[in-house]
Amino acid sequence: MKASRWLLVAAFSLGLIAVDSDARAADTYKIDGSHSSVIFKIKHFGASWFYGRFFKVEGNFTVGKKSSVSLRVDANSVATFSKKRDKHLRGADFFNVKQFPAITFESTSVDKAGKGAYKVTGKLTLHGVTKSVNFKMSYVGSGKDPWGGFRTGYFGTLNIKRSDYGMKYMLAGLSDEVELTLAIEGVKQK
Amino acid sequence: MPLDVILYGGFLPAAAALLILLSASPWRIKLSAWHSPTAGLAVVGAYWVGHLSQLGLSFRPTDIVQWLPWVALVGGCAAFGESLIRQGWRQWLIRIVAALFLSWVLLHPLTGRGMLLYGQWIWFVGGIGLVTAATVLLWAIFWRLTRGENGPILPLSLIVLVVGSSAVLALSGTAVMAQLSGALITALGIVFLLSWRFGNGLEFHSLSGPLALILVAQWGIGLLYAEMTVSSLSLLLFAPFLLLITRAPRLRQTGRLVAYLVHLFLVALPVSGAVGFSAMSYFHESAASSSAPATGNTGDSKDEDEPDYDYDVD
Repeated sequence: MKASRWLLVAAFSLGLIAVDSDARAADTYKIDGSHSSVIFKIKHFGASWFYGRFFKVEGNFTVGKKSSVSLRVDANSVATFSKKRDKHLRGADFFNVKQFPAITFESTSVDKAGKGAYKVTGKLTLHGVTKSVNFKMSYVGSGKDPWGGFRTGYFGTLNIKRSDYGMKYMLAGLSDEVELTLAIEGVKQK
Repeated sequence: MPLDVILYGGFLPAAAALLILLSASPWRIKLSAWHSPTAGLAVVGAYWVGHLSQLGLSFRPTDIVQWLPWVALVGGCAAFGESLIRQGWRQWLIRIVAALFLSWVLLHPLTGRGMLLYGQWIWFVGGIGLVTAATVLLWAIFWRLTRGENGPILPLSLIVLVVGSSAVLALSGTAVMAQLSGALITALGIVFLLSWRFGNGLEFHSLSGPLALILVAQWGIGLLYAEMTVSSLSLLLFAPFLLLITRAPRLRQTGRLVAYLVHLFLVALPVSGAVGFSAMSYFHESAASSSAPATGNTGDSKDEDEPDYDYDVD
């Protein structure tokens, strides 16, 4: 009798683990824009790195057997902590936000590349031009928030040439190569 | 100023303009048939070289700036067509079709990719009407100014207009437009030098179409896609209109020096006003941003132009 009870408990636990594994096979997370960062890094007159940030990020990602990432950045939210420079960045010389209000990324494949590391391939649309890019993202961590949500985060960097996306203004002073840093945090959807 | 900007934005366009203008042999007393549209084509050629060397050429333009060489090309074709027709309803038809094309170029990116709603249609059609009317009006004014004119005085007045326009565009946060204006300035500079050297060896009215289209395109980009003020735009549009005073028979009989002074005063007056308004706007913002928190929405007075950065998070 005692043995059969233990068997029952063991079977139940195994069942739970199986259910949990299945759930993790396709967990969808909604990106928390307030705690996600999209940062760009560009070389200024060959002398130093300059950083800017986009404050409005949204989208979702799925982690599991078929992982994916979908990201939308509001180009108008570009900020470098100088009003004049930000206006210039939003204008026709750079992001031209009136014509191209969004920067988007849609993954086409996400492959495992080691423990907690992924090779992400997808379509980046910037300044009205869509190009295929690939970069590495790594798992940062997970945790429960006080509101009962489960959060997880990933981090990655991506190098692009802005001229490939038709942003050719002042290539002599501001480098063609731009590094984009993505630090995304998502809340698990039930 | 970097050397490549001078080379690509000034020297190469000037060389292109010179080649095109010299191909019409302006030193000949008997003018060739090729002669008539060359001034306009020289401006278009210079603009193409300036754009090509600085920004490249896109056969499938997406960004509004990539449309500019195609606008200039339409201007060149219109100049060629106008030189054959000269007057009548077909000339107006050419102007209206070219202006409609420019209006579409300037406004279609703002409509997005979806279907327009009722209110947006009114806005879009109204905008098309306004831009077309402004372009055709400016074109007609340039045509009136250039008719029967072949001395160096008019190219010089146009240089003042384009230099002022370039300054306004630079102060309005679109340095690319200001750089591209360099091609126009140097092309007009070559027209000025040749007309000064060869007297009546050049005809100017083919300048009308390309100049009107390129200038309205640049001003439209400044207004709709950058920070150009309506007051500056109005003054720039008013400058050629004011130059029409010089067509008065009484003023045409004055001496050369007086004619130069009158032309330059009439064009410089509104243009300097336009530059002044843009400079005021630029430096006012600079002062505001140096005395206020750079983030814009952390203080009591919130700038309505600033996007909400969503600093206040849960």
